[in-house]
Amino acid sequence: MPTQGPSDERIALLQGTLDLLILRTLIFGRQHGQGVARAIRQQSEEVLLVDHGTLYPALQRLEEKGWIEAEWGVSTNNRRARFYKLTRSGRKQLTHETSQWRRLAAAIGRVLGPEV
Amino acid sequence: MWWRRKQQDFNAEIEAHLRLEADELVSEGLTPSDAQAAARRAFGNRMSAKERFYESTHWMLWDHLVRDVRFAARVLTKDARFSVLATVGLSLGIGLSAAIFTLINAVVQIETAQVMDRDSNVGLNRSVKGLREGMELSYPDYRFYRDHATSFRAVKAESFRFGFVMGPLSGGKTGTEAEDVEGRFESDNFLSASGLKPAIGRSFSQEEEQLVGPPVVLLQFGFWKERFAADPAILGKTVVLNAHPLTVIGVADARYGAGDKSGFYLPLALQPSLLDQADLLNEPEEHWLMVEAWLQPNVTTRQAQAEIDVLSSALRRTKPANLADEGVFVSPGGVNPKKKRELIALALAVILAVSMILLIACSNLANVLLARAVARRREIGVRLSLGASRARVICQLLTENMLLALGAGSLGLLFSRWLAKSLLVLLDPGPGFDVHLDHRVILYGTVLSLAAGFSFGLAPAFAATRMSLAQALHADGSFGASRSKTKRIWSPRNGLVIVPLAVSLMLLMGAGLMVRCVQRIYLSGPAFDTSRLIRMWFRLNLQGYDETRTRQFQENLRERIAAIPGVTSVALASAMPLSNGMGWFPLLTEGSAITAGDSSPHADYNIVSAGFFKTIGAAVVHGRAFTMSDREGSPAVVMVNQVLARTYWPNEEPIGKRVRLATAASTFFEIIGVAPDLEDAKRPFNTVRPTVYVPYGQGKLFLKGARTDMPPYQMQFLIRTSGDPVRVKAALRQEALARDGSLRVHVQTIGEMQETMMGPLKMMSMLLSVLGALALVMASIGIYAIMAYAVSQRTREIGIRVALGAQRPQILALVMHRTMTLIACGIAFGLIGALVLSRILSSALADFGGLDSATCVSVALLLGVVAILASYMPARKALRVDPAHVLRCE
Repeated sequence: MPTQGPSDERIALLQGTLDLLILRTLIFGRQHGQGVARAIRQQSEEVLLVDHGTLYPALQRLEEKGWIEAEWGVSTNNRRARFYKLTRSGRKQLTHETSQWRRLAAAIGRVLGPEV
Repeated sequence: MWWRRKQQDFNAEIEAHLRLEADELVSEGLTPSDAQAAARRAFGNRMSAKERFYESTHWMLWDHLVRDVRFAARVLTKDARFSVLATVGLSLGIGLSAAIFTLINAVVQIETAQVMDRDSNVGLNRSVKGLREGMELSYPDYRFYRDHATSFRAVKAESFRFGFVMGPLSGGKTGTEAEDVEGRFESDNFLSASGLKPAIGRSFSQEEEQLVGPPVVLLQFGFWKERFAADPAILGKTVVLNAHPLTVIGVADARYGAGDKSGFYLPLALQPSLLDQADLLNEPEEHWLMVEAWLQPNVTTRQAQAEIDVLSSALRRTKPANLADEGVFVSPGGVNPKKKRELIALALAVILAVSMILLIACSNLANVLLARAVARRREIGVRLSLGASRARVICQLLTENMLLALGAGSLGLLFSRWLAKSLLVLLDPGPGFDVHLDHRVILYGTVLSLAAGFSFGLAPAFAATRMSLAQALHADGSFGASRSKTKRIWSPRNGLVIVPLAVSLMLLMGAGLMVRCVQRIYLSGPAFDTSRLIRMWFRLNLQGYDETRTRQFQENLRERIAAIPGVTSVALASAMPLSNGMGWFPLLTEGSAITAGDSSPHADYNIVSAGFFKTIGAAVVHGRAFTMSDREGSPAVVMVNQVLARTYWPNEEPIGKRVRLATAASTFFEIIGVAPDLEDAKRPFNTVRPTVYVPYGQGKLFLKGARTDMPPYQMQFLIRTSGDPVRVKAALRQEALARDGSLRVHVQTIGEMQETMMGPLKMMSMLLSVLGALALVMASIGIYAIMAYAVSQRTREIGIRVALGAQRPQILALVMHRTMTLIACGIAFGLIGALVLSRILSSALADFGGLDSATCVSVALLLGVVAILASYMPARKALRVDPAHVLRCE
């Protein structure tokens, strides 16, 4: 996934991690696409940048897998938007993927050793 | 998600996102126009997102399929030569399989439709000492088991097929001349036992089976439709079979006897009166009935066998000594399960053999495709590097192959229809047996072609896409190079060329042999003029004529025929020249020991009148011919043909020697003349059998005790004409019918007779040619594939050689060297095989024509030329290699 913007501080998402982040973001309740993108950027303290263009096909994919549900609603500033919310199987998937990710990250951390 | 999200909905979502993002940016302090631009920038390529959505929601397979098919069609039409070759080769293979399948399908359809309640259906076969001996039982045995066995719900008996003469039908459109028909004798329950009913009318009653009341008959459905136009008014009408009037009481179920040539079903008890040659009904040694039975509910085959064993041991005590070991074997699955098993085994063997052909076709095609994949590796490399997934490219390549295979499949189905029809003519089954291009056959053909396309296309497609992009675009020749380095001639790939070439050679040789045989008969032909020789014969013995009446009729008619204008001479003979004689019986010469076994010398016999050789137009070689004075009561004399004279008395004078039948206890007959050899055209390899000619008046004496199909006094007429044979034929028929209007009259010229005899031979040669051509096409495709592959492999090498100054002939020799070896190998093996086969055949068949050099040379030449052409096509590509282009690609 290519990065957008010039900043060196920002990191492109690893393949496969976008789904995890979307699911994690939706754990706090229903949210629309733009909100998800904003949330990921803010929670990662502006390090992770979500390509808006890839976000929507990803949401679509998750919806087809049955992990999230969608319906049209009205945003806080009175705009019509499509809101997504986690389903029961989505929650299960999130737990699963989170633990996977943590193990992976820990393992990589151990291999890389302490910071030099 | 069971409903599909709409594209507009997705677009609206994107619009909503952009507005929300812009709102947020405005709140962060941007101007509205800047905010909108920034939101769009942040989103990136909106089109690509929409595309991805489209791909995720649509059934992309269909989209791809449409595009792939269009692209494949373009690719295939671009390389038309390859496409035509591949399609034709594959369609022949598929067509052959489908034709065989069509026939097997037809047989299975008829078999399964005929008998209801198949599970309880068993056959009763004759056994001797517990071993199954034959299929048929005698009538008394059938009666005994039917009346005494309690294991069976029904026992049904059916006879062989017998020939009859049906008398002229009275009135209407059905014609007024007698004709030949066939029929079977049946037990009264022949329909009801297998759960069938008469289509119209009724079946026999049990009394009618025993011949109480007026004689009755049922018609076969197909015969009724064909001969009586399915007229229901036939019920109650009278037909005359062998001069016996019978009342039609019904028409059998359409399923019964479909594919059988019987037109009539008669009660068993009618046999002795209808066929006066023998009373089969009361003769315990005549086994002429196929007996089937249906088990009672809850009775097993084993229980039935046990009961039958008890019954047959009781029956044996009443039988004459030579039948004392007889019993009955109960076989599950109908009267002839062995035949069915054989049929299935045969079908499997044929299908296996045919699939081998298809396999060779597929492997050869796979080779061609591999060669093409090498040539297309740049195209494929470009597509892969532009982002096509490997699966997508494989799909694309497979689509091409599937298109080829389906095209070949539909062509093959058309071909199979023709092939099945010609095979059917060759097999000559009865009415009701027809081949259809029904849904099973079409399904089979389609599945076969798809499987073929998949099998020959998958491996090359995988091979073509298995490469690194850099390597592909670099156009280095290393792809698959390791395989081309093999210089061995005995690799499986080369076998794909050598084997079909050799097989093709043998098949074409066989076809050539048949053609030569037909040619020989037509060109050199018999030693006499056949065009103005007419044969006329009757079946008087079947139409109620006794000896006196027959002799009277024949004498009378002979005088009338001699008076017809255009007739130069007329003779009587029991068998025609160019056909088999009265029978193949052992011959005894005076003074030799009596040996009546099968190994003793046999000969053919023909009873002829005076003037027989004059009418044929063949002069007696030696001695004298029969005259009018050689008649009943005069000294017993015979003539023999040259072959017989040579065999028995190689260095002696045959005239004056005396012979008789080994089985008859009659006097010896003196040989008075040697007749010319008249070729026997009925057998494919023109044997002339040793023949004894007996004068008309003495035939009965000579053949006393021998069992002949025709009574020895019943003769055929041989007429030599000077004028138009067609007009004379009409006059002859008129003359015969004027004597007796109910007679079945056969008239044909000897030329026409030959034509009908030659029919199967011609068909055989055509079939062999088709199969040979098929094998040749296979071989050509194989050669083409190997050449194309080799040339595409060595393009760079050839380029360098050309750049260094190699000339065209040198390049051609370089690439064609290997294939020439293969072709030579194939032809050599084929010739060896044909020689060995002909040796085997000539030891089995007495007068096998053998291989002639003309056939050998012409077939080998044909094969060589075709094979070289097939290899030259791709070789030309090597000549067109441009060194500058090849070296620049480096």
